Amino acid sequence: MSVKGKLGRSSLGQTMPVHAEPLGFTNASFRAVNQVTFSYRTNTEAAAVLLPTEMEIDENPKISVMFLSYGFSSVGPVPRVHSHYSRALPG
Amino acid sequence: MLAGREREGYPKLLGDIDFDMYQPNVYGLITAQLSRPAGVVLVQGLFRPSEFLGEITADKPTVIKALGLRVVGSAVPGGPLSVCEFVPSALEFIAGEIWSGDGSLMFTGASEFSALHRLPIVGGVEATAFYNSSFRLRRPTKTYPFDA
Repeated sequence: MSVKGKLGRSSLGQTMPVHAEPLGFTNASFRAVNQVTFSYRTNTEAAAVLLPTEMEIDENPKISVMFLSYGFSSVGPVPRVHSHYSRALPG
Repeated sequence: MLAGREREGYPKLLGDIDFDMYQPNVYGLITAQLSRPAGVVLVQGLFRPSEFLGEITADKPTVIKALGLRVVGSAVPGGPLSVCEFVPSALEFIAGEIWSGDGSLMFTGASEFSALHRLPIVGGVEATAFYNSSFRLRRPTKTYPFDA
């Protein structure tokens, strides 16, 4: 006799991959955070290559590189680096 | 790691980060370094704090808005992306100190596998620091498909 599966779409976790330990938070909090943000202007064409077609940027857009250290948080005590366009708008 | 949560459109990329604002040194400089893998330095930063600008408070939070691109590829070779959408979120800083200072940043160009140097520095570098701050993640109420 075969048995039908019981795992429905609504039972799947909100994680990637789905079998990872659950992200238990709806809203994450971060404490004892230290951060240094470096900002600079970059070449327009170089920036456009990495920008989705539905977005647009100013000439020589500003890029920010953020070094972060989370002392304690919903995702643990970890260091991170973010690099992002400081201002990109829907095109 | 490089960046954060897939769910918010911040895909993770593991790296080796050396950044500790409590690390004492005799130079008066905060050092920051990203390597990938360990030993191959991609970015080096120096921050020289100069002036305490003020406190961040919950009454007047500092909000850094972000727009991530969440992508899940197709299981079928050559097929369309299963998920491709813009995900707005924000970091809402509610406590901490803001410091101004001088910044120095250099991309080494050591690896074409992590080509951060393809956004070269044109002109000067500005820098600020948030010390002992607190923030919460503002999660999105809506996402936006990227169909192009």
